[in-house]
Order: sequence, then structure tokens, then C-alpha cells
Amino acid sequence: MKRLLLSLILLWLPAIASAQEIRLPANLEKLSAKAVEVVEVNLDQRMLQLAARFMDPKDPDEQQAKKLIANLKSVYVRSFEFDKAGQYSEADLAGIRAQLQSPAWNRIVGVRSKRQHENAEVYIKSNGDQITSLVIVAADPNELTFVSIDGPIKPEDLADLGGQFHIPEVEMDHKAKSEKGAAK
Amino acid sequence: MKRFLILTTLLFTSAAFASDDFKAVVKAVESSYGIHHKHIPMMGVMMKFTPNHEARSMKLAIFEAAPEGDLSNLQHVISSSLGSDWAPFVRVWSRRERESVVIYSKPSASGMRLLITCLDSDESVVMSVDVSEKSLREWIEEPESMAHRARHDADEEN
Repeated sequence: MKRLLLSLILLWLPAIASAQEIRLPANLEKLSAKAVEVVEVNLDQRMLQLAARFMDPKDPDEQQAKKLIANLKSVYVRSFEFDKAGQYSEADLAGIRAQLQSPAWNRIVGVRSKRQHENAEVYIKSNGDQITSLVIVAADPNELTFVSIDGPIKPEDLADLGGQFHIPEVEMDHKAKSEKGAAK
Repeated sequence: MKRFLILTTLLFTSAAFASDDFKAVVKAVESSYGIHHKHIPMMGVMMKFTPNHEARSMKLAIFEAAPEGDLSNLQHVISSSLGSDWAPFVRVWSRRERESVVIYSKPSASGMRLLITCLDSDESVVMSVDVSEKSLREWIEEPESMAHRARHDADEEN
């Protein structure tokens, strides 16, 4: 019985742990009221592993993405689409920017969105040489997207993840590097 | 034998809780949006015995009238009706289409159990399904069309 209880606890532990990883500010929710479309995706480790298991091994792009997401702990996406410009302001972004200004986070320069008129910023958090978290803030006058990825990832991996799970597609310059020096 | 009995009891208890969650969500949708689901006799039982590759052990409640009020708060309505073992998975809210889809998930013996609530002006549904790994990705990428497909499949089965 003790073993059974232990198994049940272990079964639920990843879900509980990943629920604590959400770093997107709660005040973003108020943008839903102004948006014409809102998309929200929450993938914890269990979901990512399940999704990875069924990616097509014959498709080189999917194979690459499969390798990548199998090691990730979580992917959270929030996307707001507005019917006209000016529906959100810098103040709405303040909560997330404040977190990303901390010394733990570095902005990667040399990143471009593949969409016209969209500005994409990529931030990384590292532990030694290993990137442990990555955040994308993609903004154009009519759309705002936040992506938070936890787990081992490289900025150049974004090319493989872009377009999957509602993650925006971004391009990295070959000279792309961290603003604070430690590059990719 | 004792262990078998305990396991069986746990399995049935968890199935009963899942059923309670489904009923709680249906009730919450009814009271929040002023709509009532139509009764489909033996629907739950029938779906359990007619599994396809995408959805197993399905429960379905169909609402024919258009939901009233603000559909953007659907996630709040659902989350307050579910136990903490359910995790928010996908949410799509479209003011343009007046459509709101909220999906919660929890692990099940065969993969993942999803509790899907899809409200729109034509026909709204609440469904609970066990999904395979194969269809999980489609639920992430195209939640609205998957919900419509599952509803269509259920109509045909019935």
C-alpha cells in the first residue's frame, strides 16, 4: 500500500512542480478583455513528452523539434490579437519586463521576427554554459505574444520550435549574441 | 487479492471523480450562460464501447441554444468547477467568432484525459475524452476544429 501511495505521489509530482514554473504576469489576463482573439497553451513536461512521442521521425524538421522538446520542462504561450493598434501599452508589458531586467536574464540581440512589422525580443537565463530558460516577447501593433520555455535550449533551436505549439517564428543572425556578453 | 481490491477501488473512485468533474462543468456552464444540455440516452456508455483511434471513453453534453453573456470568462467558470488534479492546457477565445474553447487535462491510464468546453453561437458542447498521443498534438494545434470533429463523430455514433 505504501508503495502504491508513493507511486501515486510520484505520478503527480511533475504536474505540481511544473505548475509552479509559470512566470508570465497575471495582469496580462486583463488584455483578454480588449483582444479579439486570445490563444493560451500550457504544456508541462508530461504533455511535452507525450507530444514528442508522436512527432514524425521521417520529417527532419519534426525529428529536430522532437529531440528538443523531449528535454524541455514546460512551454507556455499567451497570444493576444487586437482589431486595431494601440490596444496595449508599454505599461502592460512592465510586469514581464521587470522580471527580465534582473541579472539572471540576458537579452539576445540579432533576433528578427519572420512576420512583417513584428518586433521580437528573446531573453535567456543561464546556469553556467547551459541555458535553462528562454522567453520570447513578440509584439506588433495588433498582436502580442509571450512564450516562456523552461529547460535546456539554445537560441538557435528556436528556428526548429517556431511555428509549433503557437510559438512565433523568429530568425537569428549568425552574429546573434547576448547583450551582456556571454553569447550562444 | 487485497492489493487487487484496493487497486480496483482506486480505479473506480478515479472514474467516479472524473464523471463528477464532467457533471460539475456541465452544471457550471448551464448556470453561467443560461443554457441547458439536451439529454442523449446511454451516450456515455455507448461511447465507452465504441472507441476510435482519437477519442476513447467519451462523455458528451450538447447545448443547442446560444450561450448568453461574456464568453471570455469561460476559463474562470471551468477552473472553479474542477479539482486541482486538472491542469489548464489550451484556451482559445475569439470575440470575432464569438467562440470560446477551454481544455483542461490530466494524466489517465491510457495517455491523457481532456475535458473540453467549446461554446459558440451555433452549438456548444462539454466533452470528456481519453486521447491518444497521436491526436494530442492536433488538440494543441487546432483545438476548435478537433472539438468540432469529435462532436461530429459523436453525432454520427449516436
